Amino acid sequence: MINSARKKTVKGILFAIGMGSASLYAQPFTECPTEAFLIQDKLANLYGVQLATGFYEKSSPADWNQQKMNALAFSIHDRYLYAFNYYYGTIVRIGADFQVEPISLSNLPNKGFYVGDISVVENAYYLYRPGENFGLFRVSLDASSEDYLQMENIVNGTTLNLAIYDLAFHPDNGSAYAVDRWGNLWKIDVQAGTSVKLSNVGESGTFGAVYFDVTGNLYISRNNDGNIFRVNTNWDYPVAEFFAYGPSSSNNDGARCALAPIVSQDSPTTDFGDAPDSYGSSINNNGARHDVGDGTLFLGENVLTEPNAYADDGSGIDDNDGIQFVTGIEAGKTAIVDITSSANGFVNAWIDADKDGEFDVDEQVIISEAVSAGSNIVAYDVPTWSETGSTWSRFRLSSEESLSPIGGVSDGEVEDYQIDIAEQSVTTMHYPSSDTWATLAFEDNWPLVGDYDMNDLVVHYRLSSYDVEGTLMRVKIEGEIVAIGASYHNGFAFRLPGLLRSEVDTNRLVFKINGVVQSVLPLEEGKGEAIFIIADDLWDFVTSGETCKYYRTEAGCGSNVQMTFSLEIPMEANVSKDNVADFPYDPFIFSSAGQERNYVFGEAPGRRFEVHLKNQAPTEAFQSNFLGRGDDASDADNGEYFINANGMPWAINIPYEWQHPVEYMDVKYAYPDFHSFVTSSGALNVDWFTVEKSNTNNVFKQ
Amino acid sequence: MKLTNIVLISILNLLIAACGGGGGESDSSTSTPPVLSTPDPVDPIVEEPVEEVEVELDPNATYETTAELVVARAFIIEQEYELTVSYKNDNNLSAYLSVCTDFTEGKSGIKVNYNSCLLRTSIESDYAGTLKVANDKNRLVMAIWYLDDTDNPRYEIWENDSDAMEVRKFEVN
Repeated sequence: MINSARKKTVKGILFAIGMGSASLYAQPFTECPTEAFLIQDKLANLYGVQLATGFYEKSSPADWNQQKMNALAFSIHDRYLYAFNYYYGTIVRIGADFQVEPISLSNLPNKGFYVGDISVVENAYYLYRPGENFGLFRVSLDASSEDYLQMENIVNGTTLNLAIYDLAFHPDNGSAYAVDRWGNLWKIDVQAGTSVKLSNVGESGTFGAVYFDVTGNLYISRNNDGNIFRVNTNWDYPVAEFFAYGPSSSNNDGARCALAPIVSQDSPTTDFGDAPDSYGSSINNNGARHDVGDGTLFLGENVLTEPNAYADDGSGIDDNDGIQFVTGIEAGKTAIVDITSSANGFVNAWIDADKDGEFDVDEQVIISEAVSAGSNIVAYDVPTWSETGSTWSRFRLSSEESLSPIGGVSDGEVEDYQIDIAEQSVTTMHYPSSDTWATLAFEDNWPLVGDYDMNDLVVHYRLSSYDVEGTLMRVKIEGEIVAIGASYHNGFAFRLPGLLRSEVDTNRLVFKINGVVQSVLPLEEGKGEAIFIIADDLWDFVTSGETCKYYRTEAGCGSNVQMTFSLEIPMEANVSKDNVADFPYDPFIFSSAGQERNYVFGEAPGRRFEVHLKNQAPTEAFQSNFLGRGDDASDADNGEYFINANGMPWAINIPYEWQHPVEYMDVKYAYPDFHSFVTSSGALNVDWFTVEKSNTNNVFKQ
Repeated sequence: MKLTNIVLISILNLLIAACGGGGGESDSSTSTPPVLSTPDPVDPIVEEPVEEVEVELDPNATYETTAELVVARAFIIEQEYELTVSYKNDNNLSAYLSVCTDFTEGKSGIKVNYNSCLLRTSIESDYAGTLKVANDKNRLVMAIWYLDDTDNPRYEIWENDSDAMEVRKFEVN
């Protein structure tokens, strides 16, 4: 079998019934392979090639003992490979079992052919050789035709005079295509024996193996360096786009089933990056991709294959595990990464320093760095002109020394990381840490006591602040809405106590919901304080399940997290960090406009209603005479807010990715140590909120 | 220290049953939004005289439900402890300092997960600062990378003594 582990069915393609093979022993391929075939060398070797990455491995057996072959072709009509065999001096048929069967032809010229392919729209093999005595020939492979196995000269090689080394049939228009040594792309009408020049693709050389895919992309492989280029023949003026690093060879001919896509959907062998597609990540954008090859060269502990960028294999395993940023990344300074490689190879890396969504040539920070198995400490210089804030980086490991940020390669791995470029000499503080979540849990029935299932609103979030010698440069807020276990309509916001609205640099502020930049400025209008509205009504962004009342609080009502948010808040000059409150700032909920609350309010209170963490003063938008209503026992004169007579709040903050109680479950029965923690004023059971201390039956599970 | 608090309780409000998440019974999404730019003060429907009651805070008490739980009014249910961090950079080396929670100690030395850091800073001289550390994190690592000597990073581990009464300190000299 050719590469049986890699061979996959392409669904939906029906094959014509092959020609009778009773007299022949070779077995046809059972399906239309996604891989390409390449035949090389004086003593012939047949290879399987993944065009997407250039990965190839020998398919033919070591004792194949076949002489040089060329003009390789794959017939979709009978699913055999055909080639011109120099030993037999005629064409041969090659089966999936590598049996080689010579086929006698009538009217055969006395020279070999190195250019040929089998048409997709008719069962005929076309062979070409320039020169007065040769030209373009047609051989019918249709056993039912009158001219079966007769060689017919369509046009002589002086009339059709092309410096080409392979040709390939288009998947549906009946024409053959080839690129000559000067890079001219020719479309050949094989029945008329004429050709038209479509373009110059911009790359020259001996393109000894050319292939089509099902969408009309022509892949051309250059013999001397093995580079594979993609030429989209659907374009008005097709040009070559570098696509992958493939095998090089002096004699070379390729063929593939033109009806197959080039990456197998069912059994991918390719690793893609996951930066946004403007960086070149998906196959359509010629994204960075690596064949996992023989599985020995990768970053970190593992590498996963996927049919395309952003595909999720559902395993929950993160294979982005090879790079540790042991220092921060500061514009104009040296930064250090710890690169874990499985074996010897080369690393090339880019950071999008100007934040334009592309990896430019001058953004390559690590160039052909040799690495070995284990930990590799690599220092690099961050461009002085880097823009601060969130951006992307790409690390590529391969045995190939030089790589560009896009295109395929036959081994190794690509890992993309979202990074933060900081100002020089910045001090970064994270809460609770740079990649873990804290949790806010609200009871939203204020000012009436709720049921203490602490899940009316559950938010995961993290905070980062960046200061240079006490001057606050930026603040970052990231989070996700994890649960809504109540039907009140709440907005969600952060106030940064001590920071004025006028101290925020609104021009550079970036606000994203679900990764999409929002055009609305989250900074609340008409306030002196800096208040950032994440959402006016969280129910606008999430839905409960089909048979569920709420969002992710009831058993059997799991769903993916439906809302994420991030805020990068740059400051105007000279904001002192000491003037701004410490983490966790002041997260709070407010009532959505026009939405009724409980009976203590005569009308919808809207923005005048707020619930904050315990003893956190409300904002200037709050209506102060709401305090003391219902069960609220705030005492503003003593700095006591949003507590009831028992001293209990309506919101708690936990520096942990907390699993909230299921609907109607008193937090005590989900976290048995919670009570002693609070009655001891924090002296006992300080880790009551951890998963180890939870009653797992009573917390919400996805 | 005797934890005694005097709190005010509205007797009436104790009679109000606590049930469900907020707004479980009504969906008023079809009502017309009021104009928020000129909010009128809202009068409560219920105005009852408040009766003052003292509630004793008992650290040894157990409560059947969280609704009965009594908490010191000044205790904000904070789940972190403060940690002062200092590093003495004797020769004013150009270095990068991180304080992180996730690390392993193996045969090949300490491996730090730099995604688990609370503090990351460039230093050219001494460093001093204060961190808020989650209560469940009791071991921290300080990693110091010297930009002119990347082969020799320094790692120091700190362990929390949860019985310590004074402010916790992670000092590296």
